[in-house]
Amino acid sequence: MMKNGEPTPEPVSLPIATGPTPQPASVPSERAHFPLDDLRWSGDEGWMPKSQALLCQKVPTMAIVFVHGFGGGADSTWEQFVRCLRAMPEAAVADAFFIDYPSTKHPVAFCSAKFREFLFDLLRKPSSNIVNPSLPKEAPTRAVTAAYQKIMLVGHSMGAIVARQALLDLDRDALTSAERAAIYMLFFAPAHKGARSLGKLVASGFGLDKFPGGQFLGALLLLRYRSVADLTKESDCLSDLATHSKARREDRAREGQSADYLRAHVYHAENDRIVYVDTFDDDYSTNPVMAQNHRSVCKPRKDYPKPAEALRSLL
Amino acid sequence: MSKVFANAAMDRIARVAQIPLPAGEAMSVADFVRQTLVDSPIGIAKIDPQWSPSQPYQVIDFHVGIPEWFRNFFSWDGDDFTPTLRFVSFAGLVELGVEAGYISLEEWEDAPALKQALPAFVAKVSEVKPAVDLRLLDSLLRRFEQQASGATLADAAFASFESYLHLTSRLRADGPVLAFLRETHTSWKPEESGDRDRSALLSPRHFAEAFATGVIAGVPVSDVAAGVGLLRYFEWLAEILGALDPDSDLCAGIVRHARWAHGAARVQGRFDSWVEQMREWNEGQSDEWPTTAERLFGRLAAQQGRLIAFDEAGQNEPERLESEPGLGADTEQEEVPATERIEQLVAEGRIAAARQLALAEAKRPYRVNPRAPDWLASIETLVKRCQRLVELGSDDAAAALVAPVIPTLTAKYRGSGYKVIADALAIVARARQGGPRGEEEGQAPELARERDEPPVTGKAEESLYRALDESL
Repeated sequence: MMKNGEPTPEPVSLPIATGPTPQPASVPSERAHFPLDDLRWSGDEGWMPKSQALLCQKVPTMAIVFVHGFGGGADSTWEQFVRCLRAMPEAAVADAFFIDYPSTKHPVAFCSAKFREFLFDLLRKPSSNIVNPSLPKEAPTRAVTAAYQKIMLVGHSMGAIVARQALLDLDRDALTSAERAAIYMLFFAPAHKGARSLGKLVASGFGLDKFPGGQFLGALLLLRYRSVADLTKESDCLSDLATHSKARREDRAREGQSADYLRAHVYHAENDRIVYVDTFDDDYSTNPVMAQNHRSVCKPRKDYPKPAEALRSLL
Repeated sequence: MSKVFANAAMDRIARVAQIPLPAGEAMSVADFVRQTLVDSPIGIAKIDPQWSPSQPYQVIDFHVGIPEWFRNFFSWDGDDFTPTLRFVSFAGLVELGVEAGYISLEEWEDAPALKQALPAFVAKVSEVKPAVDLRLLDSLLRRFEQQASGATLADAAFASFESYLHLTSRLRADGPVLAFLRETHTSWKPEESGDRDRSALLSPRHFAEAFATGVIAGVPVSDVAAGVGLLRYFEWLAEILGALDPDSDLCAGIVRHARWAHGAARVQGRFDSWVEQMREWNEGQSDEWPTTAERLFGRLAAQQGRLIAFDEAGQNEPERLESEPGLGADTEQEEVPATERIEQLVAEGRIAAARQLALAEAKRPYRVNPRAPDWLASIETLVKRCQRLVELGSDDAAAALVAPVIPTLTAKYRGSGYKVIADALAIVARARQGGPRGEEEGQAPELARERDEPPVTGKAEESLYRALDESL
């Protein structure tokens, strides 16, 4: 598909076995990444202990950060992406970080503030504060001066709000023009225009929608989770997000600088009954995705490679 | 495969096998092998003499129906897995990892220590009766003996194993979910219709409170949040297995190794009992549970069943994965007449459930041939059942069931004065008039009204939040 003038990449071939496990081969292939393992960020303080990292064996040029939505997790939301990244040649020079944060316990402002700290370290001190503590024991450490040339923020639902808010906050404090130019955003079913049905959002986030009447349960749980209030259509959180995004973009225009880093590539699902599908600020035109729903839109599969292709087109 | 990668992969496997020990406290893979197998001659010897039936071990390995001591032997005592179980799990992961090309025994520097100690471990554990499933360890032994590398170039196998390793690490660190599983396989009894969960399943409100807080009005109840969390693990496992050839060794090996998922039918039974009651909250609406259950449990149970059959054909003493007391014949209860059950449900205030049962009763086949000698009796039964349905508020369903017999009934017995004719006509007339607006309406379930409300929107939520703020 043509998207924003960019050529369509070759379809991503997802590694799905179709026959018996191959017989032992004599020379195993070299993997671009180390085994998926715990992400050990020095600034964590117990905020995201279940986060995972897929680190390059060689020096990378890119970082991809995955941010799940309400009730999601590094595994339940993004697990399929691990196998996609391993199969994607363009990702061979990318470290991937799967953030697992307490999306139900903390309001968006807190989540984004903490994520902003991670993002800051990813930009300024990736080796010392994130990568080296996460590398296998025998792996050579990275130079403390190493920096990523490109950072891709991939968010789902509420994760898109957290990522965007963190970026705006970071940009307010200190981002160089080079750092801004390095940042890209890719969002699946972003909730930045609010949730159509908070009950369904909660039910989906917790997996209660598998049960009969799950949406009723979700509706009854609304008041128990602090971040839900931020996802209402009229919430101050979303209103401020839109205002700040626009203001920041206009600031950049006045300065004669690019504001592309504030424009997200967005994918919305045909059967999304949970969030409003609408364009946020100056984001790129929405990419509609047929036959998927709010939860499945970000999960690449053999018969649905679009999420992986979307990422690949931006690497 | 680089030596750094191989050692990192083995280190990851060893750490996963030692969970719930924190990563910082876990032994290195070399120490793990040495301490478990070499220095302290086989973990099994450390446990066996200590066993006694009174030990407060709790079961994590689900061999329901086998001697208690065996469960204790391969068990989890609340904070940790036994050394034997840890090592069986570790060696199984090593075998799966080699099969998947995730690790290479040639590149792993501590492989000789494992090669040296593994035969004694397997021999010792093989003496335990009833036998535990050691097929993965046997495969690993053969690999050592034949010096066969399992490293493959299959990305799917590699990725599936890596995902399975991640799944294992998450599950083993999830105490509430393990406790829920343990309860499901021990103290939760399907024949009691999920009594342990009934408090949480009184209504959506009760379930929501139990889900969010673990208590209802201060009374501890089943950890339904852990149960819902468990579904995620089964879903994850289903995705992993779904990406593999079901006939592959790796797929079978993962099914064997995922001991927590054994007895899938029993786990499904517990959720089925939830759904049975939840459908009362969602009356008349279709739901996706049958599809979900088949995807999460049905296929897995079938795979487990195939492995059992394979094991039995091999004349080994298999561990019983699936043929445990679950929802089988030994749990059947004496049949209670439907009419009695309906009255009991009404007495409990479970009107929706009573209505569903009454509907099922009314839909039972009746004699369709009007020349049959018992046709009228059959129709009288139908009408009586439909009257009960009407009393429970399902006017339209009752009328729909009775309407087809009205022409024949009235034609054949016109002027007879049979009460059944008047009763049948009253049922359809009532439905045509839109049903009564009497006391029955007050029995309509609370949620029937909720469904008519528009979806929850931001504005609707504002009042909720305002009310909450004011109450604080």
